[in-house]
Amino acid sequence: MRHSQSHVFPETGVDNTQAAVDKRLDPPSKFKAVLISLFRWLIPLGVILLGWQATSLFLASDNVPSVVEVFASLQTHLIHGDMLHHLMVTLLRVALSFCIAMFFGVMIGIVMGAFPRLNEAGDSLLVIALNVPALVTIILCYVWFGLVEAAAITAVAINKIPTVIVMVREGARVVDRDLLQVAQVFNVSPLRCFFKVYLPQLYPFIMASARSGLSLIWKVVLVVELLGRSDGVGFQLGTFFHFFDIASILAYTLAFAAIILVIEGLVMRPLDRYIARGNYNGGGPSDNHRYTGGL
Amino acid sequence: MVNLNIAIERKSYASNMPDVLGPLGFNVAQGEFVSLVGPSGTGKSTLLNMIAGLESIEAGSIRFNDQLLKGPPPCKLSYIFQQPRLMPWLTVFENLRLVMPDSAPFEIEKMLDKVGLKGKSDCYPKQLSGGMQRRVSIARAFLTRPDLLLLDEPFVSLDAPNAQRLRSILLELWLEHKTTVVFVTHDLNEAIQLSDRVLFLSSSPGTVLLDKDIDLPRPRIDDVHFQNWKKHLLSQNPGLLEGQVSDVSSESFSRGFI
Repeated sequence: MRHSQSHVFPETGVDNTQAAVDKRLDPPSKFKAVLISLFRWLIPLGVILLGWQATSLFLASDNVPSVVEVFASLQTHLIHGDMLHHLMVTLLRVALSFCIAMFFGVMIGIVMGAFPRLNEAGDSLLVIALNVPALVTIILCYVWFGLVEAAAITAVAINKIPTVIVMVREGARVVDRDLLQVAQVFNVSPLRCFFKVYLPQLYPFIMASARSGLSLIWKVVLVVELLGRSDGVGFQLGTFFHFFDIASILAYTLAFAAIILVIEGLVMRPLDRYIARGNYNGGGPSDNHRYTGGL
Repeated sequence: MVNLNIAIERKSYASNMPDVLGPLGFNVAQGEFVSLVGPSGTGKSTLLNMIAGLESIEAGSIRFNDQLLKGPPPCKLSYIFQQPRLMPWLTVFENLRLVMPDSAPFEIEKMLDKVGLKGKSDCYPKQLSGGMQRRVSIARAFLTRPDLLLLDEPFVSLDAPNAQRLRSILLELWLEHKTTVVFVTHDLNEAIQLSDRVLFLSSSPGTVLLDKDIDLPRPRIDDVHFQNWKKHLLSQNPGLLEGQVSDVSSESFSRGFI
């Protein structure tokens, strides 16, 4: 019982002992724990799919395709259509604008968090930038730079940068001065100090903004594609909208949602685990290194 | 190796705040182990931070080998803080590596062995007990082979046997490296046991009340001689540990001033 618990809720246990518990686990009980967590994940999904299928059968409307129809459409698009091409194009746009937004957001966030005067000066600008609708930046970028790839990517990045700034700035504000003093006293080189002492304290904040960023960016990318590109998931959705092809719209949505799930599992989760090494949680209540420097 | 000359006129954190340090002056010879003892809030840590270049010197001067301190200290300096202050996202090994990037892995392992942390190099600080984390900070301080070592009540809030073990590790390493040491504590026993000389600071703003050489033979254990020495000191200077002395001897006051 204890074993399966520590596996299902790894975040509630003391992570120090996690490795030790894993070692003690004999293979059958570990397998069982994985099975249990898989079932917990599968049951809600099954309920939703069943409910969907039942609703569509009950309504018997062309506008509410059944699960079977959607998966059939997904199969056709994957094998006979050019779904893979459009998915890849969209994914590339997401990746590019994500990287650009994160880079500038983190840089500006660090600067604003580190220098209170700059922060005051930029604060109202930031509030405005946060509240400019995505549609406005997209239209303006297309009008000013033309209907080109660079305009599309810039528009998406501009939409995301302010939210990254806000989160990273919070992290830069609460950076542990005590640890920076250690680097100063021991004469650690500025570059090493930045990457080994300063930046790790921001990782939890950068990670949180990356998480929320990915979901926001791919939504904005679709709008950008709908308005001014001739390929990508957004463009395809626009086309299907003209033909009222609801099954295809849902098939594309499912396909891209699946990709995001895979990214979450293969990139975000491992990154999370890497950042939380040493049980570091970004200065939460259990971090005893903070607020302890006495006179 | 380094000797220190300290002549502070005053120190406050802001112009409208009361001074934390008053006029205060003393010398620390090369390889000398000097303790600063005083009640809490007398600016002992502030003084250490000024020596380490972490706090600005407003009025007065600090000299390293007759060289005026401006900005970072002109010698290899190590600091053992009140809290271990290890990077929680780095392993013990990486924490030591951080302050000595060029050191060979075996040197780090040897240093860890010396402080009794053999085989712990891959642990993260959170996986270690408080005493072990302090040992890592001691290892980190000595790994750089410092000319000057500053300690800010490093053994506070440790249980007695653990603190005693760490004190003897500190002494061993000090004897081996012959570092100049400035040690801040409020525990007189600790100061007498470890240091060559002890300076008593007054309550805020801190000034030197008494500058006393400790002429007890080493290694010092808490025996009758030890207790007699301490009793004699305290009977001669009532109120010393509270930071008040009715008769401040002019001899101790002028000793370090230029």
